[in-house]
Amino acid sequence: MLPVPFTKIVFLWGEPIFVQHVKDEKETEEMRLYLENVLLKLSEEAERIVCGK
Amino acid sequence: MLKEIKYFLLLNVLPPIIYLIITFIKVTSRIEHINKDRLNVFIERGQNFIVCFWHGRLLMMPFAKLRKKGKVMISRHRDGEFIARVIKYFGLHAIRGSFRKKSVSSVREIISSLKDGFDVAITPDGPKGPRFKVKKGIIELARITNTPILPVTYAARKKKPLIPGTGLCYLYPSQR
Repeated sequence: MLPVPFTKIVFLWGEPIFVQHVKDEKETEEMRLYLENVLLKLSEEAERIVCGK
Repeated sequence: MLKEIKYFLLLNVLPPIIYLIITFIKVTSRIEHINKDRLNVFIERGQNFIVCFWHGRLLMMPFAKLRKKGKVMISRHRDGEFIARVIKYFGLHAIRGSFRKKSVSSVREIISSLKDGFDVAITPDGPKGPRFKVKKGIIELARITNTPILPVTYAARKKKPLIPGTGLCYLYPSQR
Protein backbone atom coordinates (compact mmCIF):
# COMPACT_ATOMS: atom_id res chain seq x y z
CA MET A 1 0.00 0.00 0.00
CA LEU A 2 1.56 3.24 -1.15
CA PRO A 3 0.64 6.41 0.72
CA VAL A 4 0.33 9.60 -1.29
CA PRO A 5 2.68 12.42 -0.24
CA PHE A 6 1.29 15.08 2.13
CA THR A 7 -0.99 12.70 3.98
CA LYS A 8 -1.41 11.33 7.46
CA ILE A 9 0.13 7.99 8.34
CA VAL A 10 -0.64 6.06 11.50
CA PHE A 11 1.60 3.29 12.79
CA LEU A 12 -0.27 0.98 15.12
CA TRP A 13 1.66 -1.36 17.42
CA GLY A 14 0.02 -4.57 18.59
CA GLU A 15 0.49 -6.41 21.84
CA PRO A 16 3.53 -8.66 21.87
CA ILE A 17 2.87 -12.37 21.47
CA PHE A 18 4.81 -14.93 23.48
CA VAL A 19 4.95 -18.49 22.23
CA GLN A 20 7.28 -20.31 24.64
CA HIS A 21 4.41 -22.43 25.91
CA VAL A 22 3.63 -23.86 22.46
CA LYS A 23 4.35 -27.59 22.55
CA ASP A 24 2.88 -29.40 19.58
CA GLU A 25 1.44 -29.02 16.10
CA LYS A 26 -2.02 -28.27 17.43
CA GLU A 27 -0.86 -25.37 19.58
CA THR A 28 1.36 -24.08 16.78
CA GLU A 29 -1.71 -23.98 14.55
CA GLU A 30 -3.68 -22.17 17.26
CA MET A 31 -0.96 -19.51 17.60
CA ARG A 32 -0.70 -19.20 13.82
CA LEU A 33 -4.42 -18.46 13.60
CA TYR A 34 -4.22 -16.13 16.56
CA LEU A 35 -1.42 -14.09 14.95
CA GLU A 36 -3.34 -13.99 11.68
CA ASN A 37 -6.35 -12.62 13.49
CA VAL A 38 -4.28 -10.06 15.41
CA LEU A 39 -2.69 -8.76 12.20
CA LEU A 40 -6.04 -8.53 10.41
CA LYS A 41 -7.66 -6.63 13.24
CA LEU A 42 -4.66 -4.35 13.66
CA SER A 43 -4.79 -3.19 10.04
CA GLU A 44 -8.56 -2.73 10.20
CA GLU A 45 -8.16 -0.61 13.30
CA ALA A 46 -5.34 1.45 11.78
CA GLU A 47 -7.51 2.15 8.72
CA ARG A 48 -10.34 3.20 10.99
CA ILE A 49 -8.15 5.50 13.07
CA VAL A 50 -6.51 7.19 10.10
CA CYS A 51 -9.80 7.82 8.29
CA GLY A 52 -11.97 8.45 11.30
CA LYS A 53 -10.40 11.49 12.87
CA MET B 1 18.41 -8.87 -24.21
CA LEU B 2 15.38 -6.69 -23.47
CA LYS B 3 14.72 -8.76 -20.39
CA GLU B 4 18.28 -8.26 -19.24
CA ILE B 5 17.96 -4.50 -19.62
CA LYS B 6 14.69 -4.61 -17.70
CA TYR B 7 16.26 -6.45 -14.79
CA PHE B 8 19.33 -4.27 -14.86
CA LEU B 9 17.07 -1.23 -14.48
CA LEU B 10 14.96 -2.98 -11.86
CA LEU B 11 17.95 -3.88 -9.73
CA ASN B 12 20.24 -0.91 -10.25
CA VAL B 13 18.25 2.14 -11.24
CA LEU B 14 14.90 1.69 -9.54
CA PRO B 15 15.97 1.02 -5.91
CA PRO B 16 17.44 4.51 -5.25
CA ILE B 17 14.40 6.09 -6.94
CA ILE B 18 12.02 4.07 -4.75
CA TYR B 19 14.10 5.02 -1.73
CA LEU B 20 13.69 8.70 -2.62
CA ILE B 21 9.95 8.34 -3.26
CA ILE B 22 9.38 6.59 0.08
CA THR B 23 11.50 9.18 1.87
CA PHE B 24 9.60 11.99 0.14
CA ILE B 25 6.27 10.52 1.27
CA LYS B 26 7.64 10.28 4.79
CA VAL B 27 8.98 13.81 5.09
CA THR B 28 5.85 15.39 3.63
CA SER B 29 3.43 13.40 5.77
CA ARG B 30 2.33 13.60 9.36
CA ILE B 31 3.26 10.39 11.12
CA GLU B 32 1.66 9.27 14.33
CA HIS B 33 2.51 6.21 16.41
CA ILE B 34 -0.14 4.52 18.51
CA ASN B 35 0.75 2.15 21.37
CA LYS B 36 4.42 2.66 20.71
CA ASP B 37 5.13 1.83 24.34
CA ARG B 38 4.69 -1.79 23.27
CA LEU B 39 7.84 -1.34 21.21
CA ASN B 40 9.64 0.88 23.70
CA VAL B 41 9.35 -1.68 26.50
CA PHE B 42 11.53 -4.05 24.51
CA ILE B 43 14.00 -1.35 23.56
CA GLU B 44 14.38 -0.23 27.18
CA ARG B 45 14.91 -3.80 28.33
CA GLY B 46 17.33 -4.50 25.52
CA GLN B 47 15.19 -7.48 24.54
CA ASN B 48 15.09 -8.23 20.83
CA PHE B 49 11.97 -9.39 19.00
CA ILE B 50 10.48 -10.56 15.74
CA VAL B 51 8.55 -7.67 14.24
CA CYS B 52 5.83 -8.84 11.93
CA PHE B 53 3.45 -7.14 9.47
CA TRP B 54 1.54 -7.97 6.28
CA HIS B 55 3.53 -7.91 3.08
CA GLY B 56 1.20 -5.26 1.65
CA ARG B 57 2.26 -2.91 4.47
CA LEU B 58 5.95 -3.16 3.77
CA LEU B 59 6.70 0.15 2.11
CA MET B 60 6.73 2.56 5.03
CA MET B 61 8.11 0.09 7.58
CA PRO B 62 11.66 1.44 7.41
CA PHE B 63 10.19 4.38 9.34
CA ALA B 64 8.77 2.23 12.12
CA LYS B 65 11.79 3.48 14.11
CA LEU B 66 13.21 0.18 15.15
CA ARG B 67 16.66 -0.12 16.54
CA LYS B 68 19.58 -0.09 14.15
CA LYS B 69 20.17 -3.74 14.83
CA GLY B 70 17.50 -4.89 12.43
CA LYS B 71 17.38 -7.54 9.74
CA VAL B 72 14.60 -8.29 7.31
CA MET B 73 13.66 -11.68 5.87
CA ILE B 74 13.29 -11.33 2.11
CA SER B 75 12.61 -13.94 -0.56
CA ARG B 76 15.34 -15.32 -2.77
CA HIS B 77 13.58 -14.32 -5.98
CA ARG B 78 14.69 -11.48 -8.18
CA ASP B 79 11.95 -9.24 -6.80
CA GLY B 80 13.34 -10.10 -3.37
CA GLU B 81 16.71 -8.86 -4.60
CA PHE B 82 14.99 -5.63 -5.59
CA ILE B 83 13.49 -5.16 -2.13
CA ALA B 84 16.80 -6.09 -0.51
CA ARG B 85 18.51 -3.34 -2.50
CA VAL B 86 15.86 -0.79 -1.53
CA ILE B 87 16.09 -1.51 2.20
CA LYS B 88 19.87 -1.31 2.05
CA TYR B 89 19.46 2.42 1.53
CA PHE B 90 17.63 2.52 4.85
CA GLY B 91 20.54 0.78 6.55
CA LEU B 92 18.70 -2.51 6.92
CA HIS B 93 20.24 -5.88 6.29
CA ALA B 94 18.41 -8.59 4.34
CA ILE B 95 18.29 -12.28 5.16
CA ARG B 96 17.40 -14.04 1.95
CA GLY B 97 15.08 -17.03 2.14
CA SER B 98 11.60 -18.18 3.04
CA PHE B 99 9.66 -20.66 5.11
CA ARG B 100 7.98 -22.07 2.05
CA LYS B 101 10.93 -23.87 0.62
CA LYS B 102 13.26 -25.82 2.74
CA SER B 103 15.74 -22.99 2.91
CA VAL B 104 17.53 -24.24 5.97
CA SER B 105 20.39 -21.78 5.69
CA SER B 106 18.16 -18.72 5.92
CA VAL B 107 16.29 -20.10 8.92
CA ARG B 108 19.64 -20.82 10.52
CA GLU B 109 20.75 -17.27 9.81
CA ILE B 110 17.59 -15.86 11.41
CA ILE B 111 18.05 -18.04 14.49
CA SER B 112 21.65 -16.94 14.93
CA SER B 113 20.71 -13.29 14.30
CA LEU B 114 18.04 -13.47 16.99
CA LYS B 115 20.51 -15.08 19.37
CA ASP B 116 22.99 -12.29 18.59
CA GLY B 117 20.43 -9.70 19.66
CA PHE B 118 19.19 -8.51 16.28
CA ASP B 119 15.54 -7.70 15.69
CA VAL B 120 14.18 -9.57 12.68
CA ALA B 121 11.33 -8.36 10.50
CA ILE B 122 9.13 -10.97 8.83
CA THR B 123 6.13 -10.63 6.52
CA PRO B 124 4.28 -13.85 7.36
CA ASP B 125 2.13 -13.73 4.18
CA GLY B 126 4.74 -12.74 1.68
CA PRO B 127 5.89 -12.41 -0.91
CA LYS B 128 3.84 -14.91 -2.86
CA GLY B 129 0.89 -15.03 -0.56
CA PRO B 130 -1.72 -16.28 -0.05
CA ARG B 131 -2.42 -12.78 1.12
CA PHE B 132 -3.31 -12.33 4.78
CA LYS B 133 -2.44 -15.93 5.62
CA VAL B 134 0.21 -16.43 8.27
CA LYS B 135 2.61 -19.30 7.65
CA LYS B 136 3.49 -21.34 10.68
CA GLY B 137 7.23 -20.81 10.26
CA ILE B 138 7.18 -17.59 12.24
CA ILE B 139 5.57 -19.32 15.25
CA GLU B 140 8.14 -22.11 15.15
CA LEU B 141 10.96 -19.61 14.85
CA ALA B 142 9.72 -17.58 17.83
CA ARG B 143 9.33 -20.73 19.92
CA ILE B 144 12.75 -22.18 19.09
CA THR B 145 14.52 -18.90 19.83
CA ASN B 146 12.26 -17.92 22.72
CA THR B 147 11.67 -14.53 21.09
CA PRO B 148 8.46 -12.49 21.37
CA ILE B 149 6.54 -11.55 18.22
CA LEU B 150 5.63 -7.88 17.90
CA PRO B 151 2.86 -7.19 15.37
CA VAL B 152 2.68 -3.78 13.72
CA THR B 153 0.87 -2.12 10.84
CA TYR B 154 0.37 1.29 9.28
CA ALA B 155 -2.42 3.02 7.41
CA ALA B 156 -2.51 6.20 5.34
CA ARG B 157 -5.40 8.56 4.87
CA LYS B 158 -4.66 9.01 1.19
CA LYS B 159 -3.19 6.08 -0.69
CA LYS B 160 -2.84 4.44 -4.04
CA PRO B 161 -2.79 0.80 -5.03
CA LEU B 162 0.59 -0.13 -6.39
CA ILE B 163 1.25 0.11 -10.07
CA PRO B 164 1.40 -3.14 -12.02
CA GLY B 165 4.18 -3.43 -14.57
CA THR B 166 6.69 -1.56 -12.44
CA GLY B 167 8.94 -2.79 -9.67
CA LEU B 168 6.37 -1.57 -7.21
CA CYS B 169 3.95 -4.36 -8.00
CA TYR B 170 6.40 -6.77 -6.46
CA LEU B 171 5.61 -5.34 -3.08
CA TYR B 172 2.01 -6.33 -3.35
CA PRO B 173 1.19 -10.03 -2.99
CA SER B 174 -2.31 -9.92 -4.46
CA GLN B 175 -0.92 -8.98 -7.83
CA ARG B 176 1.06 -12.15 -8.24
